[in-house]
Amino acid sequence: MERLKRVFPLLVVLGAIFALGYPVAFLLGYPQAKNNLENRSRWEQRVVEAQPPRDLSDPTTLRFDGTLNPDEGLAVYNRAPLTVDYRVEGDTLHLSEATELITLNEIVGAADGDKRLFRVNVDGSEQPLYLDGRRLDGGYDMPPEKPDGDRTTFTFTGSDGAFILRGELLQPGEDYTMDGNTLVLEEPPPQWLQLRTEPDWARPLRVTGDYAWANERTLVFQEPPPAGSTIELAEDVIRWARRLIGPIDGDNRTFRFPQGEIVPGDASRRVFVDDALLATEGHEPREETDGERVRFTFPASDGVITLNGEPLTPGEDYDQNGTVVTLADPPARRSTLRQHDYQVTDSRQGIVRLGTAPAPGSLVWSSRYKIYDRPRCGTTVMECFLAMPQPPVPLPHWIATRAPSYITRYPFESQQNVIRSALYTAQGTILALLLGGAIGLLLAILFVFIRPLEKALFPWVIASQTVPIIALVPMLVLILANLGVTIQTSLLPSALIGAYLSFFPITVGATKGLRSVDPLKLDLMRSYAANRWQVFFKLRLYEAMPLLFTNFKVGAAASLIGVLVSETETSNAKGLGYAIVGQVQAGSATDLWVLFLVSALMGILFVSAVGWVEKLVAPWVRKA
Amino acid sequence: MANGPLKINVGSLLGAIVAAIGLFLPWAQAAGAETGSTLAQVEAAAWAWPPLLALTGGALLTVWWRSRWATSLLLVIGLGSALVALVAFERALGAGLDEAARGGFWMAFLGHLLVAAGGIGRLSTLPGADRMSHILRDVVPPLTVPAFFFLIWEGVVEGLRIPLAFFPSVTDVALVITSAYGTLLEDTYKTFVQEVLFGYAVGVAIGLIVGVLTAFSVFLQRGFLPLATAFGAVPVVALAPVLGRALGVTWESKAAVAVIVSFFPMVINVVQGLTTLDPLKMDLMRSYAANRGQILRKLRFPNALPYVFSALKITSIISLISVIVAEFLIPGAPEGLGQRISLTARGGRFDVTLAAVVFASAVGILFYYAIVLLERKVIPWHSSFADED
Repeated sequence: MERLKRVFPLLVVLGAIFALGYPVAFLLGYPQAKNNLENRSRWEQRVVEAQPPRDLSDPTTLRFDGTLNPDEGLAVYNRAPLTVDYRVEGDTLHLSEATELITLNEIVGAADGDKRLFRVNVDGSEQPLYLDGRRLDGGYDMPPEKPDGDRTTFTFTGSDGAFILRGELLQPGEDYTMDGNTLVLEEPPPQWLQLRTEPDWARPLRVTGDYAWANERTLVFQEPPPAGSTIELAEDVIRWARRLIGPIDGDNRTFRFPQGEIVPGDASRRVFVDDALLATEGHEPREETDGERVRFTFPASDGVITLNGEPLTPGEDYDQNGTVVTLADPPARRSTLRQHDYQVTDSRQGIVRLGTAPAPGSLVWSSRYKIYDRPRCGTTVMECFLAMPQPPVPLPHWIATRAPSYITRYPFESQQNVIRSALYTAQGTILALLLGGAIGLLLAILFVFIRPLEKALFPWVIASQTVPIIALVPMLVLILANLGVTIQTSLLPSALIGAYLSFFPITVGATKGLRSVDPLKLDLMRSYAANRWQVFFKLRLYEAMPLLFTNFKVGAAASLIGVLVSETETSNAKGLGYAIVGQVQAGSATDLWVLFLVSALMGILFVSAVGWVEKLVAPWVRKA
Repeated sequence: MANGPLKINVGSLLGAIVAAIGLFLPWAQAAGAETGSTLAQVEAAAWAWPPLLALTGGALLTVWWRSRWATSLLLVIGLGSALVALVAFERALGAGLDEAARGGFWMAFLGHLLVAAGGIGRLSTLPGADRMSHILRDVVPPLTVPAFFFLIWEGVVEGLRIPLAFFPSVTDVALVITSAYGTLLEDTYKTFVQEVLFGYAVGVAIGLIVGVLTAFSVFLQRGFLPLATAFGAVPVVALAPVLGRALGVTWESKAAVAVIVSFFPMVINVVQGLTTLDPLKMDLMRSYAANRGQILRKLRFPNALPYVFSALKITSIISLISVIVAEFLIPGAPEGLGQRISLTARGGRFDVTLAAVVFASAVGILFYYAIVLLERKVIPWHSSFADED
């Protein structure tokens, strides 16, 4: 009952701290979550493309995936509006005459009814794929985990379908097993080490559509295509493209994209006036801006002129004569003057301004542009908070659930195993404490026996406690290295630095302890004619114990800090300090918390251990 | 050796003899312009020879005279001569002094340090209870330690020609302090005012409030105090990165480190101060039929003040140390003393590192003694002033 009375409040307070972790985590994570939700650059982007037909088995009747509206779109082929007359009816495009519909890259290898994996000679991952004239839908499910060379488990949103990895079809039972929605591979896939950005197929993928690309040149079908069927990869095909909205009256130059908020810096955007592709990037003038020049020559006679990205008004900011533009004020040296075929004036509304007004009867259209689709993390701040991969403060139960897996993530033999690191650091700390204790005791004994030394030095040992002696550690680490004390592999530098930090408090405690002797007892010793050594061993040493052990505890905490700091400075990969440094910049916040808890536990254990030693060595000392 | 004064000052005598021999070794002859040393070396060292000869002679005479004034004179002569010898040594080295001629300098320098050490040895065992004896015995010896420390440091680094990249000399560090004090002051301002002081003030304020609340609840005392005590053993090295991640790499995270490390000791001390009461005083209050409020005002609060100041003193140092360690570990803009120390140490500029450490130490000492001063003003009745640490 008494025990319960002691433990219960502790549990309640711990629980309260745990619970308090949730609002704290949310408050600190809120700005980042809000930014993830609202900042467009963190949104999912979607490519809006001219749509390829679903069915082109009939050369004059093409079926598409939705209703076609001739006021909003147009049929295009080979980067130009279709020259053949056509009419639309629902989802069907009727051509007046059979024409070339499709430019093909045929699949190498014939379908035999069993084969699911095909290798092709071109990178066709962006091109539509037709099986006997019917377009197939590609699709895959990508796990959130990145291969790191060690990882063998990857989580998916489902478990059915073929699994592919780096150009190969994985065989169930042989290459992998499923654990719920988790794929467990026999061999860990390699890390992506090439310079270019990691493609999706660097991770294992689950085929969810009719097919998926297992790398740039390998196509894997969900079901084997029937024997004798034709598989066609369309390099180009008649497509249904979107018109830009705006009157074409010979004067209007402002047009709007039909859907969504376009991505301003989208280099893959394609805007056409009839069959002319407008350049996405601006043209430079022939002359450089030098701060004085006002006349500049451009390659074309018309276009939107911008200075440092801001559009200029013709007649007001500049006059144009053919390809020569004369500015009202000379632009500053090294400023950016450009002529654009068109310019995005309002990306939110999807509004662009063309350099020349299209002539009446022409077509303004786009075959490809990117829009900001939706926030990647969810629809509310809370969803975005929960989806944050690295919140500033992890939710308490994440830490609790993460700790066991962090400890078991690497085998005990591995240097990255946290228990092994902690044991290594503990060794260094024990060595440091023994060393610091020995030096401190020795110095205290010297002080007690040699009075001049105490008079001169002891005030400075005390003053050392008001000085951040730890500030010297980064320098000491390097000096030890210069002196040849091996840094990367040995305990010694850490132990020396831990000893250096712990010996000051221990010296103070021991000296004061040895001096703080009850005068009555001292008189008693004198009356027995005890000599200095007898007084020391029979009286002083006993009287010193309480203060000595109090400061030994301070020294233990200081040793641990010294060893950890020296490990962070030396990058000794075996210690806990190194593990902490490794996580500071790039690692996960949860791992940092686990490391923090492990270090805290170590500190508490060390201080309690000194307490246990005190009980063993000096059981007569009673603590209040 | 007994507690009484020595019969003869052996250390000083020995030192003076060594120094005297050193004065007649090759460099001294060079001062007389007879050896193969170049004119530049001779000129660099020659000026020091006559005064050193006079000082060493003075020491040799004073050694036999046992009064405390003579002993103090020995201390002054020893330190002064060591400085003169060192300056001459450095100049001669600068002029290209060869190996063989260095022995005399070393003997004069170390000999006079020994003279001074002998003086201290005798001063610190002076008998007598008058004021002057007290000053000479208890105040002067510790004050001379920095002089010894700097002379030996400078002597070893310059005399052995240790390169700057390995360890700087006192003059190297002094040069950095005088030339770059602007930057170092800015670092100090950022570290101390923005991070340490702010965090410390917030931490002790919250600690005071929480401490008072805890003191009045047995439940909280049982539940919270063990945690607060355990927290003292948590290494700041592990705490700083967690806060750095939570609050970003700017000053807030480092101030938060100071808040946390000053909070817990304050809570513990406030609770102790309010609850560990002298039973006699408590009985007295009861015998006057004092009510709870009166006991609180007249007994508990005054009783807690020394504890509060003790916490204020301890945490002032802990928060400075912790903020510096936090600056080592939380990578941010290269400003603040911790970053300066860590970056310059890694870059091998130990002179700048040490200059920054000097600033950090100065700020630490000033901070600590400012609180001691405040303590003396607020609780002058408290008896523990003999025991400040």
